Amino acid sequence: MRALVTAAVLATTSGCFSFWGLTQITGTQSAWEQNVREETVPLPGVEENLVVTLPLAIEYEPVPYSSAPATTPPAAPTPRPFALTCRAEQRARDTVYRSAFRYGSRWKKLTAISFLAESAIASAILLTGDRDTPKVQLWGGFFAIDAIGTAAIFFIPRKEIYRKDEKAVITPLRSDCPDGLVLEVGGDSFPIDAAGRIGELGETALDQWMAQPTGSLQVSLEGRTMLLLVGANEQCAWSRAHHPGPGPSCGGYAALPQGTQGLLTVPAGTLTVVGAE
Amino acid sequence: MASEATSLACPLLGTLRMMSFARCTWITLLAGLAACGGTAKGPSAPVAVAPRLEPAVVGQTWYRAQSTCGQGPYEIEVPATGARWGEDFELRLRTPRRVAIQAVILVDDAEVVRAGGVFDGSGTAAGKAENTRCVADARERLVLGRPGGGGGGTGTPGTPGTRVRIETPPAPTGTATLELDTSLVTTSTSVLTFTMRDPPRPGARIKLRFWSIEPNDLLDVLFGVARIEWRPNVAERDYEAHLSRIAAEEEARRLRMIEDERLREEQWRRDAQRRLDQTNRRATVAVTVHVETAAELAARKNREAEELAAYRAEQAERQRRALEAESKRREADRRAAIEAALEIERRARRTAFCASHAEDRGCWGAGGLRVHLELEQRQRERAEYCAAAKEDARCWSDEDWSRRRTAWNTRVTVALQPPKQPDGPPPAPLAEVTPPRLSVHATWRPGYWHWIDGTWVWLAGQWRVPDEDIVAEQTTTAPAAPPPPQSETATIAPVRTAVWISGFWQWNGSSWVWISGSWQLRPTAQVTWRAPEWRPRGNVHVLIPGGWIRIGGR
Repeated sequence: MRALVTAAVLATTSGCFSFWGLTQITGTQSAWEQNVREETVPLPGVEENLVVTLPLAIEYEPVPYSSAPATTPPAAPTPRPFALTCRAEQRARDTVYRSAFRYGSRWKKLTAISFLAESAIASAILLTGDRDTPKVQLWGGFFAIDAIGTAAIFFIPRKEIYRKDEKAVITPLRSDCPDGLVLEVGGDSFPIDAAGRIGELGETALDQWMAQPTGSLQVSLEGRTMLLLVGANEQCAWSRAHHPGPGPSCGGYAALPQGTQGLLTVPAGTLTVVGAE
Repeated sequence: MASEATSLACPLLGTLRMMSFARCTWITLLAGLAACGGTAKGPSAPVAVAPRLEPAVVGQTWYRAQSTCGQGPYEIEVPATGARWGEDFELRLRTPRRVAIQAVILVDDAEVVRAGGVFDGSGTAAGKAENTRCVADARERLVLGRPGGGGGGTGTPGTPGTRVRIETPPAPTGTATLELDTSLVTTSTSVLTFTMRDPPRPGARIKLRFWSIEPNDLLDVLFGVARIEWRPNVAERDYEAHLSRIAAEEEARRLRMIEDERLREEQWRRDAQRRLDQTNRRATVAVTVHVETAAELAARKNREAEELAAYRAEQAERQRRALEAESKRREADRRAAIEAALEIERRARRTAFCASHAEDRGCWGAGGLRVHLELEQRQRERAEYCAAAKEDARCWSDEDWSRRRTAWNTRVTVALQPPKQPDGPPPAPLAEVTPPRLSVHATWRPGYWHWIDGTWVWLAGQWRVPDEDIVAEQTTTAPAAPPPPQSETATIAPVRTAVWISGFWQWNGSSWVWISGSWQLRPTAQVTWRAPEWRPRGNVHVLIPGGWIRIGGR
């Protein structure tokens, strides 16, 4: 019974007084707008970012799930080849111009139907139920009051909205590593390929550097560089993942980071070029 | 029997280069046994055998590589004897561990067959070659494989390592050395086979060339070349007669097929003629037999008249329906034209109305004409901006996105493809002088050609000194103190994390040899390099080898 009532409330309060009140409180009155026309004008000043993540832990290929009972011990998971991950995005701001009607014809129809429905429900509850029970009084009263409120808001005059908002826009571009991206390990450069790999020599150099950092670990693209911050925790995470066994004592496993990342801001267009351009 | 076989087979085997007589005897025995069909059990009743060709191993030679670590290219040349019934040349391998082999067979320098893969004692195998002993590890490659890597260049090649990079891999001008091996090989696996038949080419130069991209651990690995002749299992004359018989039977079968085909075709023609004749006969009978009576004629005329009337009615009905459909279509077209005209008129009137009613919200939406025009202006601003800012992703169409995503995904696909492997063998190995052993249990990893970035790079040989030797000071002695150290200039570091290890004098048993300085990588962070030194012990000097020691103690 309670579920039915809840469903009825949900079904009928759309456009009704209580819901309208809720939108007024939460500032989402635009839900009542119709005949909306929006024009978005991009503002100049696009910022292009490349986020490069250097994984510290070893990632493994997912093991396919099998519902059959295991007769043999599960095979050791296959580690994924070491690869940095790249994520390129553009950040900018848009001006959005919006014109619309609020409380227009659709509003009138909606509130009228809601008023009729709520009145009917209130009447049904109050006339057929035991009016002495608090439940009937509560629900019957709620729908009756809501119907009255709905009748009142039916008469809200139509408003015209013309608004200008500025909003931030983040456009994800690509997840491959761009041409010319280089990992500099203590001053030695190792090119990063599109899949984020740095080759066997690069991995060896990185491993050496993690054991004994000399110089900085940074990523560079077209003359711009960003540091990949590696502290004791990162070194510890690397050491535990790549050289398991007794090693330098460091924080608990839960505290160790999974990767370290840096953000490289480049001139707009650097990351969007494709071969033919 | 055996002596006859020996006298028959040995001239053939003599053509094989570098074949030993001891080997020849073994082979001949085997060949003789094979030719005789195994061990004879004395005279028995003749059994009819189906004549066929059977393989007979007429020569098998085994070789071992001079160096126990090697990548080739190795080459074995075998002249073809032009055996009448065909001959096979096979490259065989006996190995106690996994080795990677690429092999080709060339006939008069033209490649005829190629194979490659990883092999173990039982044939092709999965996994990588077991060659840890023979290849530089990742740290060594990092030092040797980058510009600046290698030694100080004081003229002692090979230790700790010099790097030679060749931009254009040359054709292999030389080959690595193989030595004959006379041990009895009982189990081996086939790497590559080539059959030469139709026509036999006596004197053709058969070259078996094989190599590997990384050096293999060739300790106890043997390469064998087998020459197999195909021979009839009966006397040649009988086999020729057998072939003639087969050819005659084949010819007879062919002729029978042609005759059968001809007969089938003839039968088909006869059937076709018969059918034609029957048709003609039926037509003649219809004309000659059918005589109509007056009643039949009247009935037929009535029937024809009825049929004609029905046909005319049907035609008329069809015409009426067509006219009706055409009329409906015209009416629909007319209505549509009227509707269109009315719509145009309505729009024109609405346009006129809206033009004169700037405040009408039905025409212009919220805000009237003023807001409408402003939004139009914003739309133009966006178009102007996007025309000028092609790099701005907010302006890209679906087509732009699709084009870029395809290009970026392709880059990843290409990057994930396996690296290009060399088409041919590496150049011949460079000559190396192995410097004196650095410690009692030190092992020499010979130099080799390393395939990287589409080219061959020479990674020179290195001594690998076990830590135990350094700890135990198991080293060499010299009768006197070494000369003063040579002055060296460190080359450009291959990587910044590399440490320059100065050169030192080593005693080779008869004279002092300068071991060049080199760049090395620390095995762990908490170590430092302790330079080697010669210490007097009694009347000799003992080398305390250099090595990585823990900071603050061993």
